Amino acid sequence: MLARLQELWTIFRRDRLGVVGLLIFTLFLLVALFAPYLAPYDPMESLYRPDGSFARQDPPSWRHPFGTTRMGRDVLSQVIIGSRVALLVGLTSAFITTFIGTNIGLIAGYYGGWIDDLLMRLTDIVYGIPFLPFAIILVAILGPGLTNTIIAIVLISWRTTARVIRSQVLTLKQRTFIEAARLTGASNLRIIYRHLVPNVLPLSLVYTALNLGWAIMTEASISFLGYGDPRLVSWGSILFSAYVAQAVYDAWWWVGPPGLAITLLVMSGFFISRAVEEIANPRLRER
Amino acid sequence: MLVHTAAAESKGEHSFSRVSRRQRRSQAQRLFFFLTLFITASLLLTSCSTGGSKPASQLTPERKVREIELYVTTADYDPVRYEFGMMVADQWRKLGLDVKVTPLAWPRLSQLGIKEKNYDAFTLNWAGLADRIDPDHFVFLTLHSSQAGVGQYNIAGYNNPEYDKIAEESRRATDPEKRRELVFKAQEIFARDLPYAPIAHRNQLMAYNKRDFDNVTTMMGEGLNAFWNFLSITPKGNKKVAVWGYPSDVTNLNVLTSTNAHDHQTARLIYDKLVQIDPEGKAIPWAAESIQQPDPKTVVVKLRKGMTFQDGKPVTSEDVRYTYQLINEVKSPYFMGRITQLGKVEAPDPQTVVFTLKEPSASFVANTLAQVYILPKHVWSKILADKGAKGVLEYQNEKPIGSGPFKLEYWRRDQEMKLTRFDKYYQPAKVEGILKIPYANVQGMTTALEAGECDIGGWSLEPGQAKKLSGLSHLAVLDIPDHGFYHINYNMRRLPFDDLAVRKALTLAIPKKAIIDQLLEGHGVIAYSFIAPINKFWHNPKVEKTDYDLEKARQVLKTAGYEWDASGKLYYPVGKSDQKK
Amino acid sequence: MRRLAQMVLTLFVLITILFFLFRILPGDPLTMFLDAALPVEVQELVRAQFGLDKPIGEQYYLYMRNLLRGEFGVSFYYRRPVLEIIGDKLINTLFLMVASLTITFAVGVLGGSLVAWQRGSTLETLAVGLVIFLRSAPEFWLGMMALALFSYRLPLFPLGGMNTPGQNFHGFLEQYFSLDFLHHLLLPALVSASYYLATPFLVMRGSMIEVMKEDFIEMARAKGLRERQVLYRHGLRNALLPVVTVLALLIGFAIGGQVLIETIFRWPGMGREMVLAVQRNDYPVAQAAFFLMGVTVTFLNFLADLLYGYLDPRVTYD
Repeated sequence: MLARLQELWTIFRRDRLGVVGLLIFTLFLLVALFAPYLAPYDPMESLYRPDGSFARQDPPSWRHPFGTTRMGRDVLSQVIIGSRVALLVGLTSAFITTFIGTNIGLIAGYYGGWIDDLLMRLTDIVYGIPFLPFAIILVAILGPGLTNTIIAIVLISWRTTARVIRSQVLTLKQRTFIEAARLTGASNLRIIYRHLVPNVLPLSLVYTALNLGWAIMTEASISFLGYGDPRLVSWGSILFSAYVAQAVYDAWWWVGPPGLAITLLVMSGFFISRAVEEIANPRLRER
Repeated sequence: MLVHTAAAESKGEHSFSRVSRRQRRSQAQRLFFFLTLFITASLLLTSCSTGGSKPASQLTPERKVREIELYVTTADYDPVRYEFGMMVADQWRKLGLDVKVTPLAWPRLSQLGIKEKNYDAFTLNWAGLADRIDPDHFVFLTLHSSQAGVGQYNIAGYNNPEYDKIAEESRRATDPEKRRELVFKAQEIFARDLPYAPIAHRNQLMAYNKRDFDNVTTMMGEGLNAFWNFLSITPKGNKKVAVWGYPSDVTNLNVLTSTNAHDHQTARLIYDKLVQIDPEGKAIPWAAESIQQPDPKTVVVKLRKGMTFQDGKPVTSEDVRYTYQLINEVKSPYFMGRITQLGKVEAPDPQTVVFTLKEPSASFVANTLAQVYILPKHVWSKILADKGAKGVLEYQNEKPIGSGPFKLEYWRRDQEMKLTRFDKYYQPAKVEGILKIPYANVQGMTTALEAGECDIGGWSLEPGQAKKLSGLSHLAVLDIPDHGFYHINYNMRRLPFDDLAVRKALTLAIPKKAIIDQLLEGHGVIAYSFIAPINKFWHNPKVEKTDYDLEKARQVLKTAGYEWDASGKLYYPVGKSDQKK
Repeated sequence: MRRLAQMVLTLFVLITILFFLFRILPGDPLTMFLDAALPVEVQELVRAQFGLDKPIGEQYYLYMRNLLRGEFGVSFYYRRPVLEIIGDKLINTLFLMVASLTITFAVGVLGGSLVAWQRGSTLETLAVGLVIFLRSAPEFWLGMMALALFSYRLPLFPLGGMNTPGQNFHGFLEQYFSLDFLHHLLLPALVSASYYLATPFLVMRGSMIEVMKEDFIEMARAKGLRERQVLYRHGLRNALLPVVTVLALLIGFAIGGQVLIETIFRWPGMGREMVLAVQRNDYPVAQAAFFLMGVTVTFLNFLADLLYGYLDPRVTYD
C-alpha cells in the first residue's frame, strides 16, 4: 500500500504545475485552520489610527499590510478569515458532489437499462440549466447563506462527474475481472463498491479537485452579487463590499488581495486535477 | 471612541467563533446540516469555547429574557442599515440580552416586518417622500392604533388612547396653528413612549455642474430632483440643455400605474398639478389660482386662466374632475390611497372645481391636491373607451401630453429621454431642455459627473465619492438635509417590547452619534422625533432626547425590576416571563 | 428525433422547476410594489391584474399556455410585457458573447496548436499556466481590475455601458455598428475572452498532440513537406474537430457567465437584467430571462451532441 502511494507520488511529482498546486492548496488549508491565530485583528472590527482618528480606507502600511476598508476594517485579517468560507464551501461541495456524481455514474453504468436511461435523462436536464443564474435564483429564493450556496452548487455540479464515471464504468464492465466477480456470485453492491469503486476513484478525484475550484468560484460569485451569508466574511463578500462602497477605482488594496486569493486557490484545484488525471489516465503519461 | 471601546471589550471572545456558532445553529434547522457540520467541525475545532451560565439562586430560568432577533436589510440593499443593525446589537448584548441579527432581502423583510408584523425588532428607513412632509403620514399612519393591521404602517402596534385622540384631532384641525400644537404634542408623547426608535436623518449628498449652471433649488427629501430645481436652474453659458443623471431609467410614464418614485419625479415635469409643495414644505396653489375652504368639508379651487396642454387644447376644470373620475374607474394603484377622504368632485364652470370631503381633512391639500396630476380628458377618455379600465393601467403612455413645464420629445429606454421646455407654461423654465440619462448604477452616474458629462446628479453620493467630487473645480456638492429617517421598530405586541422600560433602555443603548459619524461620515443629524428639524414648521425641538447612555439604560431596567445573573444575562421582574402567554 | 424529444422534455422540466421555485417563497411577490396605504380592495385588484389571485395550479396552466403562444407575462417592475424588455437585452447579450467567443477561439486555436508544437518547452508551461490562471480568476474580478486599470488609471476605454450617453442614434445599424459601440464593446469582450480562453486553448493543444501522433502526419513528413505545412495543412484541420464541438458547450457556459460581466461593465444585457429582476422580485422577467438562457444552453448541448456524432462516426444515437 505504502509502495503504491509512493509510486503515485512519483507520478504526481513529475507534473510541475501539480506540485505547485498542491503547495498552494496546503498553504491555504493551513491559513484556514489557524486563521484566528494568524489574523492580526478581528475582521469585523472598525479600527482607529494611532492618533485616534477613524482608519477609513487607509492604504497598506506596516500596521495594515493590505490596508483597511471604508469601515476601517483590516483587509489582511478579512482575507485570512475569508479563507475559511472558501475552503469550507469548496471542500464540502466538492465532496458531496463527488459522492453523488460518482454513485449516480456507478449505478447508471452498472445496471444499464431503464435505470441508466432515467438517470442520464436527469443528467441531461441538469445540463440544460445555466449554472450561475440558477445558483443566484436559488440562493435569492432560499435566502443567503452557506448551506443554500452549497445546495445550489451541488444540485448542478454532480452532472459532469456522473457522466464521466458512467462511461468509465461502461468500459470497466467489459473487463474480465468484473465477469469473474460476477461468476463467483458476488452481489451487485459488492461488485460496485469492491471492484468498480477502486478503479473509478482516481477519476473521481480528478473531478473532486475540479469541483473544488468551481465551488469556490461560484461561492465567490454569489457573494459578490450580494447573496452570500451576510454574517460571514468571505472573499466574495469583501469584493462585494468594496464594489458597493464604490471603492474599486480608489482602493486597489481592498480589491486586489481577495481576488488574488480566489484565483490562487481555484488555480491550485485545476493544477491538482491535471496532475491526478495523469495518474487516473495512464494513456496521458505516455505522451 | 465609543465603538472602539465596545470592540475592545469583545476582543476576548474571538468574533469568528461567535459567528460560526450562531451560523451552525441556524444550519441545524436546515437540510444537509450534518454534512456541513462535519466539515465545520473539522475546520473550526479550535474555536469552540462555551461559557456555561448558571442563574443566581432567586433568578428562576423562566424569568430569563429570551433571545431577541433583529432583522436588518442586506448590505447591498442598504449598507448603513446593515451596519448599524450590527452596532446596535453589540450594544444591546451589553445590557444582558441575547441578540441575533438576521439580514433579510428587502422583499422578505417588508413581508415579515411591514405586512405580517411577524418580527421582534427591525431596522427601517422612512424615505423622505414629498407626501411625508405633511405630518399626517407620521402622526397618524405610523402610530394611530387603527393603522396596525396587515400591511398598514403602524408597524410597532402602538396603541395609546391618549395619543390616538391627539392624532385624530390633528387630522381634522384645518387651522395650521392649531394643528401644529397637536403635532407637537404627538411628538412629545411619541418621544416618551418610543414605539419605535428614531436614529438619524441622513443628509443627501448631491452634485451638480456649477461651471455651466447656477440657481439650483433643493428641497428636503428631493434634493436636486425637486420640481423647483428644473424651473430655476439657469444656464451660465452656451450649454442650454442640462443633463440629468440617475442610476436607473424611468420604468413607466403612465402615472396611473407606476408606483415608482422616480417615475413620478419625471412625470411631474410633464403633468402639472393644482398645488405644489414649496421648497420649505408648504403647500401652495400652483395651477390653481386660489383655494378656498368655505366649510371644513368643501374645497373650492379656481384654475389659472389661459393654461393649455402641450397639444394646444385648453386646460379646464372638466379635465381636473375627469382625472379623479378616471382614478376611481381604473382603481389606480398609485392614487387610490391618496383620495380616500374624497367624496365627490364637481366642475360647475370651466375655471372652478369643487371638492366635497367625507370628513374634514387637514392634509387634503398637501396630500391629495399636491399629488394628483391634471390629465387631459380628451386623451384619456379615448384610451379608456378603446382599451377599458385594465387597458388603461397597462397603457405604456410613451407619448404623454400634459400641461407641465416640459414636454417629452423622445424617449429611448435605457438610453436617454429628452424633455424640451414647454414655452406656453405660465412659469417657463430657464433651461431649454433636460436630457435625462440612466447611468445603470450610482458608480456610472458618479463618473459621468466627474467627467463633466452629467450636470445634475439625481442620486445621493457615497460620502467618500462626495469628498472626491467636491475637490473638482467644475462641481459643487451639496449637503441636503432630509426629513426621512432611520429607525428601529419594536414589536409592542410581544414581550419584552411591551414594556416601556425595555424600549427606553434599548433606545438608550443605540449609539446614534457613532452611527452618524462612522456610517454617514457625519452627513446627518440625530433623530429624536418623527419630524425632522429641517421640517421647521412641524418639528418640535423640545421633545425628550434619548441619547446613547448605557449606564442610564441599565438604571432604567433596574428601576423597573429587571435583574442580571452572574454572567450578566437579563431577567424579567418577578412575575413576568416569556413562557407565560 | 429521440434527441429532439429529449430536448423538449428538458425544457419542460426546466420551466416547471423554475415556475414552482419562484412560488415556494412564502409571501406575496407584489409586496414591494404596492403601497401599504392602498385600500385592501385595490391591492387585491392589482394582484388580480397579474393573475396572482388564482390557485397555483391554474397559474401554472395559464403560464404554460401563454408561453406556448410566446407570451411571458407582464413585468411587476416595469409594468410592461416581459418580451419587450427582454428582446433588446438579448440582442445586446448576443453581441457581447459573439465578440468574446470569436476572440477566444481565434487566440485559443492558434495558441493551442503552437504550444502543442512546442511541447515540453518553457513556453508551453508558461502559456498553460497563464490560461489556467485567467480561468481561475473570477470573471468579475478581472473585469473590475481591467476597468480600474484601462479605463480609470489610463483612460483608454469607457467605464462601462454600451454607448456614450446622449447620442441620438437613428436606428439599429447606426447604433450597433458605430465606432462608439465598438469602443464600449472591446474591453468587456477581451475580459470575458481571456476568461474563456483556457477551454479552446487546452482542447486544441490536447487534440493537436493526439493528431501529431497519427500516422498520416508521419507520412506527410516523410513526403518531405515543410514543418509549417504539416502543421497547418494536416494537423490543424484534423485537430480542429474536437474544438468545434467544445464551442457549443462553451457558448452554453458563457451565457451563464454573462451575468457577471454584464453587471461589472453595466452592459444592458439579459444576464444583468436577470440579476436586477431577481433583486427586484420581478419574477416574470427573471423567469423569462432564465428560460431563454436555458433554451440556449439546451439547444447548444443538443447541437454539440449532433456535431460530435457527425464528426466522430464511432458515436451513434440509437
